[in-house]
Amino acid sequence: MSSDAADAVFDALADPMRRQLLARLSAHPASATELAGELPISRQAVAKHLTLLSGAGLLQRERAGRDVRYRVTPAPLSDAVDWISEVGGQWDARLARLSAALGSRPRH
Amino acid sequence: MADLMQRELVLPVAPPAVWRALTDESWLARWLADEARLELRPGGDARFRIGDRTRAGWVEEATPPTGERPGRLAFWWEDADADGGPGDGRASRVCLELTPTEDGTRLRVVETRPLDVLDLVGTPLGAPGGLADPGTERFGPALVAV
Repeated sequence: MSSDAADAVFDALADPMRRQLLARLSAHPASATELAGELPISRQAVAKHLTLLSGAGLLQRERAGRDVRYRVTPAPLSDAVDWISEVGGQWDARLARLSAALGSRPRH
Repeated sequence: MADLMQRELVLPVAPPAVWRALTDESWLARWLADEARLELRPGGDARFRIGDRTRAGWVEEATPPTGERPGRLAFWWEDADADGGPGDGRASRVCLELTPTEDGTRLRVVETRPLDVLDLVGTPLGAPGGLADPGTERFGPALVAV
């Protein structure tokens, strides 16, 4: 994933309402109208957030009769997963060296 | 969202000895980097050469452990260009915490990327100058100190 695409994901996730929408949609796909009925914001505001989340690749649109429903795309989050596993691997190696360096000294 | 890496281990030496290993430049060269420079004061320089890469940033907190009080070293770093300038702008925060145990020291390492840290301190993300503002690319000490 490019750094721009990652930025779009993190920007999209920066807003608490968008995180709430994403959490709600990860449980079950829904249309903007359905979401507006459940949340304390207008349908227009919901639609705006959904557009941003879709633009970041976090949501997929699908036709459901006359309505458009949104479902969560898990793929873009893999950038965060990659980062966590890369950084975790680096710390494992560092801490093993630290442990060895300290373990060889007498106890204080 | 968890954009956070965490490790914990117990070392068989007292907190002051671990603190020395985490902060003394020649000790750092034995486990963290080939070459290390760390100014132990808030806002001080942090610079680590790891192979042909350099990670550079600044110190947020350097509190040595004393008696039962835990020690904490927190710094920010990001890839720096060869000439020492800022790199790709994806800075992360490293926090190393030392707490005494019965026969040694518990060391907790947490590395986080900005969004989570700012979430934790309750920064209004939608506010002008907040994260939703595309002009905000870097996060300085003032934001972190909230």
